[in-house]
This record gives sequence, structure tokens and C-alpha cells, in this order.
Amino acid sequence: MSFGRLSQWASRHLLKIDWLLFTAVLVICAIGVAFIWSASLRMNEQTADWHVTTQPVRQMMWLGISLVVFVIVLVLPYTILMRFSYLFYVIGIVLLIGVFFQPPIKQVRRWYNLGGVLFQPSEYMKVILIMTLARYLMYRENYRTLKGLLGPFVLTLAPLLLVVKEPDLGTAIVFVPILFALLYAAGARAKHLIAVILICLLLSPLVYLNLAEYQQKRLTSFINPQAHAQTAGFQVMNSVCAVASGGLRGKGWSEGTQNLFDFIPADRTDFIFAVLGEEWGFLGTVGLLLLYFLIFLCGLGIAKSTREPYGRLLAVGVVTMLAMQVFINIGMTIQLMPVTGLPLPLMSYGGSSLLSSFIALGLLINVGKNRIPVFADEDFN
Amino acid sequence: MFHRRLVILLVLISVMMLVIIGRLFHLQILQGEHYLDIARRKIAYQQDIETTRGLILDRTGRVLATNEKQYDVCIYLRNYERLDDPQAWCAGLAALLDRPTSDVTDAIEKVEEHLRTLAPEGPEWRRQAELKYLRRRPQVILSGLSWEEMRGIRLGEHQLPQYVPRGVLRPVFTLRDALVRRYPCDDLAPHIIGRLARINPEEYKDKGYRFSFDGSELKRFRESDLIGRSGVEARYERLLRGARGRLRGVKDVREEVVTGMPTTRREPVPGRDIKLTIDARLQRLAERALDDVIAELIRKDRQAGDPPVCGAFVLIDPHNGDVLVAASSPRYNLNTVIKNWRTLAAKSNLARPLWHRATMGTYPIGSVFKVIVATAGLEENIISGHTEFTCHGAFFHGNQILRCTGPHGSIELSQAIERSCNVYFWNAGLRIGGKKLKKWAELMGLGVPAHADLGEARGGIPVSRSSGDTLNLAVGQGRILCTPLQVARMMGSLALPGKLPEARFCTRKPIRIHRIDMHPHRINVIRWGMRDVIHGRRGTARKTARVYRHERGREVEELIYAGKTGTAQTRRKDVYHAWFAGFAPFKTPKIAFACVIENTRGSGGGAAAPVVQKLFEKVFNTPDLAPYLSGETR
Repeated sequence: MSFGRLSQWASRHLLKIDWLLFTAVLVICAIGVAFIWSASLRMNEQTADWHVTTQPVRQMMWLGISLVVFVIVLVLPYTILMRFSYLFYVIGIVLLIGVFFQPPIKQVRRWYNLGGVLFQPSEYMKVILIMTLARYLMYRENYRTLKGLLGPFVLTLAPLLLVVKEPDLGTAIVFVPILFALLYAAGARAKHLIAVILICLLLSPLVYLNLAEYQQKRLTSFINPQAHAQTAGFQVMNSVCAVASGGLRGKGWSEGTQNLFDFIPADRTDFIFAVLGEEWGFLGTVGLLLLYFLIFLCGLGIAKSTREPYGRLLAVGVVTMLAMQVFINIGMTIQLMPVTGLPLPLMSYGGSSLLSSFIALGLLINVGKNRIPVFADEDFN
Repeated sequence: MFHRRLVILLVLISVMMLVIIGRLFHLQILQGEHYLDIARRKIAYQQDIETTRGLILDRTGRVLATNEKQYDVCIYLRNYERLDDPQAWCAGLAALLDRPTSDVTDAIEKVEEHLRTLAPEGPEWRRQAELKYLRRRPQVILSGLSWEEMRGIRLGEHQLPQYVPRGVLRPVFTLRDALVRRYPCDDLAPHIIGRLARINPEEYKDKGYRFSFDGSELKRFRESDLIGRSGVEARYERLLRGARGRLRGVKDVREEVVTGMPTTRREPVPGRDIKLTIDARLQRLAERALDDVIAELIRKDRQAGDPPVCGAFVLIDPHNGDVLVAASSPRYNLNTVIKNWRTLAAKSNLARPLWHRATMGTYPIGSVFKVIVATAGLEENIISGHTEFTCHGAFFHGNQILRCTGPHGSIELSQAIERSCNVYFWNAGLRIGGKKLKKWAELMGLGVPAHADLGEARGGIPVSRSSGDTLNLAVGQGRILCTPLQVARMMGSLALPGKLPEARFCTRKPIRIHRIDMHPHRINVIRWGMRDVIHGRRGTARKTARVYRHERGREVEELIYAGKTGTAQTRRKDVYHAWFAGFAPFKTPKIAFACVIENTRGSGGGAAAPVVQKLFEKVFNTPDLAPYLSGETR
């Protein structure tokens, strides 16, 4: 490929992408690696010196892999991906069923063990669900009737129930807002959606009774953490203490006592925000939230400027998914929500989460890059 | 419409963000100080609870290795040097311990010196900081105190000068307890029990040790941990080693445990006890018999310049391979082995007391090999019990003349064994051939591992390249090398024809019995020959191996058993390895034994048989040991 062709290729694929969004993503990832590093500091009891586990390095490796996949997703026209949406959906469902035949890890069947690397299909299912729902809704009208809502609900509930069964409540919860946001964006009647939400709320006591004991405990400990200080509430109390003790400016990177003395539970994965809150304080947490907000803003901007129906629904779905994950994760860290195991996208340690976030972002930026002419009204409904 | 809905979504997201920021503001800005205070007060602590190593017991449950609590005196140097009169404190402590004052002062000086070497290289301020830290930590000055000494210190503690700055008592010293390994039977079977030693820094750094034992953090080695270095202690390290307990909780600044925070306590798991197949009483008697005989041999006929006289004795149960006795002389005392290490391990110490001769010593076995020749001949149908050869006192091979112990005349198999006629077995050996001799020797456990759960030598049976080699092999001379354990096992396979159990030193090892394709009725003639070695009119051990039961000074009962003597040549003229091996009792064998005396001027019957005789006589006359030998008597 000559230089001219290369520059042409680059200008077609790279120059048109939303650089502001991409920069925000990279900055969040860098912050993530820094705090995974900080959370991985371990003291040797004998010699009293500190060392770091291999996790930050592994995370950087995953970041590299994710960027490669990101570029691939970016370069393909997303209309091609659209055609395979249902195929992906079927593959995703099969993988979710296959998980039940895997040996359990920590008494939970969520992962495939691919020679030391854990593969979590539910993470990818979120993205696949967005693609499938967008594909299903793009040229339809009937979701404006209550009967027409049945199709999208069935499409969502099938993977949702499978994920709940794993059990992975945190990931499953994200499926619901994705469905509602897509239906809402596609033009379903708000009346219908609110009615469905009300029915769900009425049924929620039944759901509570069906939860596993530890999940019930998490809920009750959310309401009254002191009563469960010995067990389930311990996590939340310590993470809140960590975030709050950060104050305005924080204790400094890798200086947080709650972090170093191992009070923060799962401090590299689900509670990474507590480490950031402790070490960078209010300025750091608000800064991170603004970066996330920048991503959401750019994402919705892409949705707005796209007239192609699949693309705009895709954009809305990706933004909703990321926003909900951020909200649920940070919410549980600062005791706004019950504890559900859900990673903070782009920050938490974990290959599957990072990769699926990057695929989703790749799709989003891809939509923003390809302006496909559509012969339809401004609002295609 | 789509755009309006996007705006609503954006509003929803913004609201969520604002809720989070509001909560963060509440926590971090408004309540930040409060939580910072809580966080500062919390220090997670984790403390190990030491565990105990498993005991080593003999087959009857006697304790051979146990753990004993000892006490160390640790000093806080920082407080010590601020005493008004440190010398008085030293004198006081020494008085409580009944030791000279210099013991204490020397120990303190030594610790000071040690700390200076511990402080890291680098800038002076850093060294000083480290030293300051170390001086605040308790440092061991006197270790290995007994319970009585500890009690003495505790009772007299208040008389010592104290350091009380501003009305707060600061301790000058503290007592710490530690477990040490003790061996109640002193020098009983030290090679089998094995030594413990502190793990090397190199090993400690090696991940194999640090992360061994199923990766259990609680079981892995610490810098100062003891590790088995030989014998059962090393072989069963995995089982003997216990898992530490752990105390975890939260302490506040005053080092008091914070209530309401989870405190977890995991109890230590002691190591598993190991039961040996050794019978301590038998072992003790055997070691005494061996020592006595060797002492007598040295006194009687050792000449200057001879290599040291050493010996080994093995006694096994041929039914299941249990090693009842594995004695080795000289020995060492496990309680003092560290103190005496220099002399024990010295290169100039030719007796090599650390070496377990019973399983690691390899020797030519001399005439004991003749039973293998006989077995091979009978089983391969080359000779029969009635085959006769004529012994003129010498054997002509090419231009060589090989001498026998005497002209035995026309002699058949059982007599040839009884009188250990070389000519008979030279003839038989040539007919059988070196290949088959080697095959049968290895089938019966010579020159092959005994599969013992303890370090053992393999030895070997040489390949015969010429008829000369075969002649040498037929009488067990030359390059053949066997361990006493192998020979005892071989005797077991004759005692219970065809049964060859794997040797085991520990009851945890499963019993495994190999079968040899052997015909009991065919080899019976060998057994009778071996019986006559002791009880026959011309047996080679008839004078030195007879065992009687005494009652009121009279011999009332004789033990009937079978054996074979052997006298293997060494490189030195007139210095031999004397062997005596066999099984007892004759009719219903219960034990098989092998005894070797190294570098003696005596013969098998003269040097080795008395050991067996002395032991058996004791066992036979001790009512509660007699079952080992009970059976047919006369």
C-alpha cells in the first residue's frame, strides 16, 4: 500500500472518528490501569516491602488486545455487522447455555476457562442484545401497540434469565434499561413503558423471595448496613469509608490506607472506584464522572446526527449500557444501591469487561463515522 | 420526535450523574473529616498462630520424636540502654538463671553486633533509622530455656531494675516460647527418624519451597522454619508439617482490637503423626548387641591401620515387609547432632556416623549369595537336592587354583550350604551360568531397590563376561554390591517362598507384595541347609549362633532358626565384611534378618552371628517380645 493509499485509508477511517470521545475513553483506561496498580500493591509480611501483582500488566495487555479489536470493529462498515445481528444473538444464547456445563469458579458458572484466560459470555451478550434489538426495531411500527412489545421483551428476557441463573445479577440488571431505552428511542409509547415498569414493581416482592440468600442479604444490608457489619455490610461500609475519607483532594495515589491495608473488598474489580475516591478525593471522582459524561454526550450526539435507523438505535443502546453500568457500579460503591457484582466499564480489572466495552465503543464511533444516506423522513416513524 | 426523546434520555443520564455527585459531595466534602478519622484509626492486623509438627511413633506407639516448649529471653535494646544500671540488670537476670553474669552481657554484645550487620547498606541516615527500628523490636539473647528457668525468671522478675519513664513501665525484656524437636530415645534409630534443620535462604527464595504444599499460604515455609533433612522427617515432610492458624482483625491506634469489625480466627492444624514399623524395644536391643559386638571386635583383633569397624542390622517381617529393626553403627544422638555436627560430618571421620548403613551401605555379600545359586539351580532344574560334587579343597579353573575351606569330599546341596563349600557352588555356578544367577538374584531383591519409603542405595549384580566372573559371583565376591535391607528381604522370600514384599518404614505406606515364581517344595532343601548352618554338626555358625531360653540358669528351650554366614573379601588382606542372614523361627517364619560387620578380621560366623545370637537371646528371654520368635522350639 503506497503512502497515498494509506493516507486515503486513514482519512476515511480515522480522521472522521470522534476524537474527543476516543480521547476520553483512553484517559479513563489509563486512570483505570493506574488504580489497578495501586490496588495491587501487596506487602510482604516478612520483609515489609511492597510489591505489585501481575494484574496491572495483564490489564495493559488486555487493553492492547481491546484496541486491536476496536480498530477491526471500526473499520468494518457497521451495516455488515447489522446483517449478522441475529446470528450473533443465536451464538450468544448458545454460549450462555454452554456456561452451565463449565466447572464452577468460586461456586459460580459465569466463565469459560480458555487455558488460563477467563471468557465471560454475558459481557458480550450485552452488546449483542443492543445489536439484535436495534435490528429488530429498525423498520417496525408495531411496538407502538402493547402486543408489539412482546417481541423485544422475549428477545431480552431469554438471555436475561440465563444470566440470572448463572448467577450474575449485576450484568442481568443492565439488560432491562437497554431494552427500555431502545424501545423509547425507537418510538414506543411512554404510557406502555411506564405501565410495564409499574407491573414489574408490583411483582418485585415475588422476585425478592426467589433470590438466593446472599442476594437477599445484600439487599437488606443495603438498607441497614450496621446490622450486617460482620458480613455483607462490611464491604459497603468499608468502601464508603474509603471514598469519604478521601475528602476533597484525596490521600494521593497509592497512599490510601483503606486500600493498602486491604479493607476494600474486590478492590481491583468491582470496587475500583472506592480506591480512586480514597486516593484522588472529590476532585478525582467528579473528574472521572465528567469524563464519562463526555462519552455519553458524544454518544448521544452521534445518535442525533445519524439518520440511519439501525445506527442511531445502536448509539442509544451503547450509551445506555455504559451509563447504567457506571451508575450501578458507582452507586453500589457509595451506598446508593445494593451490591451487585458489576464492573465499572473501562476502569475495572477484567478482560471480558474491557473488551466488550471497547467493542461497544467501536460500534458507536463506527456509526458516527459512516454517514449512510437514508431515503426516509426525518423521523422514520 | 426522536430528537426530543434523545434529549429526555440525556436529561435522565444527567440526573443520575447529579445524584452521584451529590452523594459524593455529601460523603467526601461534608463527612470527609469524620470518615478520615475512622480510617486513620483502623489498622488491619494479621497474626499467625504457630502450629506443631506431627510426632513420630514406633509401631507400638512409643514416641520417638516430639515437640517440646522452650523459652527465649528477648531484650528491648532501646529500653535496656536507658536503664540506670544495665550491669545490675544483667547480674540480676544471670542470678535468676544461675549462670555467670558474663553469659548475659556477652549475649547482649553479640546481638548488638548482629544488628549492625543486619542494617542495610546505604546512606547513614537510613542505616540509623533501621537500627533504631531493630532496637525497638524484641531480640533474642538467651534461647532454649527450660520451663523451670522460665518460672524462675517470672518469679524473680520484679527484683530486676526497671525502666519507668514518666510513670509508665516499659519492658526491658520479654519471654517468648518456641517449640523445638526432642527425641526421648536419644540415639535410637537416628538415621530413620532423620534430622531437622532450618531452611536455607536459597531454598527459601526458591518458589518450590515457598509455595509448596498445595499452595497453602498457611503451610508454606517461613525464613526460620525447620525442614526435614533426612530419614522420615524428610520423606514425610508433607504430612508432618502442620498448617499455621491465623488471627485477623482490626486494631485501632492504641493497638486495641476494634469491636464490631469482623475478627476471624482460624485454628492451626497440627501436623499428622507418623507411625513407624520399627519396634523401639527391638531396635534398642539390636543397636546394643551391634555396639557390644563391634566394641569387642575392635578390642580383640583390630590392628592399627585397619579401616573402622562398623556394622548394620536389619530385621523385617517377611509377611508384609515391615522393617522392625534397621540398626546402624556408629550412630549419633539427634538431640545433640547440631552441637556435634563438626565431628560427625568431618571428612576425617572414616566411620561416617551420619550414614545409614542398613539401607545405604552396599557390600559384597560373600557366601550368603550361595543360597541364590542354590535357588537358581533348583528352580531352573539344573541341579537337584541330590546332585553331588566332590570337593578336594581346591578348584582348578584354567591355570588358577581356587581354594575352598577344606576338603569336603563328595557333598550334596544341603551339606554344601551347611558347611559353605565353595567348590560345590563353583561347579553349580558354572553349570547355571552368570546370566541366570544375575536374573535370580534380582528376582529375589538383590541389587534392585527394596522400594523402601526411605533413602536407599540400589547396589547391583555384575554382568558375568567370563567364567571367572561367574565363579566370583557364585560365592558372592567381586563387584556384587547389596544393602543389608536387600539381603534381609531376600531371606524373607526364602522364609515364605515366593513372597517378596516391598520394604516399608512407615505404616502409612500401603503393603505391596511381589510374587516370585518359586516352588516351595523344591527350595525346601535350601531351608534345611540353612537350618543346619546353626543347628547341624558342622554348621559354620554352630558355635556362635545358638539361642536358648534360660530358666534358673539352665537352658530349657532352643530356638530353631535358619541362617547363612558370609565372609566377603575387601581390598585389604585379611579384612572382611562378615555377614549373617536368615529367618526365624524355622518352621513358621516370623522375621527375616541380615547383619553385616564391616572391615573386621573375623568371619561371618565369628563376627556377625554373635550379634544375632545376642539379640535373639534377649528377645527369646523377654516374655513380651518373645512372640516375634515364638513358633517351633526344642
